[in-house]
Amino acid sequence: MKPYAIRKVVAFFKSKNRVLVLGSTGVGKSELALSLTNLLPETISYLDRTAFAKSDDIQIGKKVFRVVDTPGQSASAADRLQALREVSAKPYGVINVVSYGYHEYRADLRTVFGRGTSIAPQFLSRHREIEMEQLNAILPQLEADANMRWFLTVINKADLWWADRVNVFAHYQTGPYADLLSRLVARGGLASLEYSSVNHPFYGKAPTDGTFSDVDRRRAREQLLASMITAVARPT
Amino acid sequence: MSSTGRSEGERQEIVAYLLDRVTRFSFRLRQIAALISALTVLNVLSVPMSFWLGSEISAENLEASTTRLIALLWISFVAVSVVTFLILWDRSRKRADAFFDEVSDLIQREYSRSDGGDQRIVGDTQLAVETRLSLKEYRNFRGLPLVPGESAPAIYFVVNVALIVAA
Repeated sequence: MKPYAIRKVVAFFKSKNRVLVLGSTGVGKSELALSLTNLLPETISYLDRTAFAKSDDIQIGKKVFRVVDTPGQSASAADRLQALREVSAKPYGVINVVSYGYHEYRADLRTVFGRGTSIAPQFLSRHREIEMEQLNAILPQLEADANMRWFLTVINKADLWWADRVNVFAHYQTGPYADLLSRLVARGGLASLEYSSVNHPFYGKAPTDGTFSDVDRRRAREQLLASMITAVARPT
Repeated sequence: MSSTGRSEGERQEIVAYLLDRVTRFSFRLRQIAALISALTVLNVLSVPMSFWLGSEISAENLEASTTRLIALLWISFVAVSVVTFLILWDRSRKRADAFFDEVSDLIQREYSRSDGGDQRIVGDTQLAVETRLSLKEYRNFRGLPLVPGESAPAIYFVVNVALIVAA
């Protein structure tokens, strides 16, 4: 393994595969970007969030990716469009991060947990809607953009929903989310992958469901990295 | 009262207050940023002039050496001023970011409420549109001119310190 500084210098001179990371606030986009190069990234507190788009060059195998992490708040819609405009000057791929409504941000905790300690179902369903609203807002631009070459849906926080995976995959692969994405089918590469950047309790309170082990987390990460390499290697 | 424990009127007041602060900071940041870039450009242009004045220096030409000394003092003074403005700009930006975060969080909380939130804040009302515009404007102008990116303050700093050393 080369030292960090050498990897950065090598990455600087290589051609970059652009990746735009989209998703609503609190789904774990920044954590996911960190976990691409680090198997055990430090947990980002739900109080911290990405306010402005930022990019980082990372090396996966022999490929270098310029990963553009976008802010996910509803007030940052213009920033996301601006990031898309900048990325779309050249061919690029999109990773849309979702988490089945398990969004961690500076929300009012009474709306997350209600009066008890279990997660309020309305919170999860509303945030699944938000995932789709946000995707729907940017979909026309992606649809019309010939430089958009591949699209991956990463269903993050598998440590929280893995026991309910039949419903989760149904939602993203055959449900309303899949209907929305059907407009992009012609581009191929519309896979949905489970993922967990880091296993941790929801808002530090609700425990993980205990069925998604570290072995699963490692396997999911390798699956995502392999999918990214395959996506950029695919002839256009 | 809403689920967030504040009445709609109170929430609107808070948004209006935060918005006012973001707008004021945005204006202040633009002023300081314009000053930083203008002074840096002026200083960079002053360096070749001071070299030109230096070429005229001789034992008989004391006037030229005095003029060059003044030029060197001027370059140093401007560079120190730019560094001071950079510190001021950085502090103002951190405070502005805090207000920006608050507005943005408040809008997100309203937007994510299962009842659709307060439409006067997240809908298409005058306040909601003004809020979005102010946030957009702040986002567009929170950097320094001429040098894009997060490393811009560091580049301005290095250029001006280099000018002091060169002077």
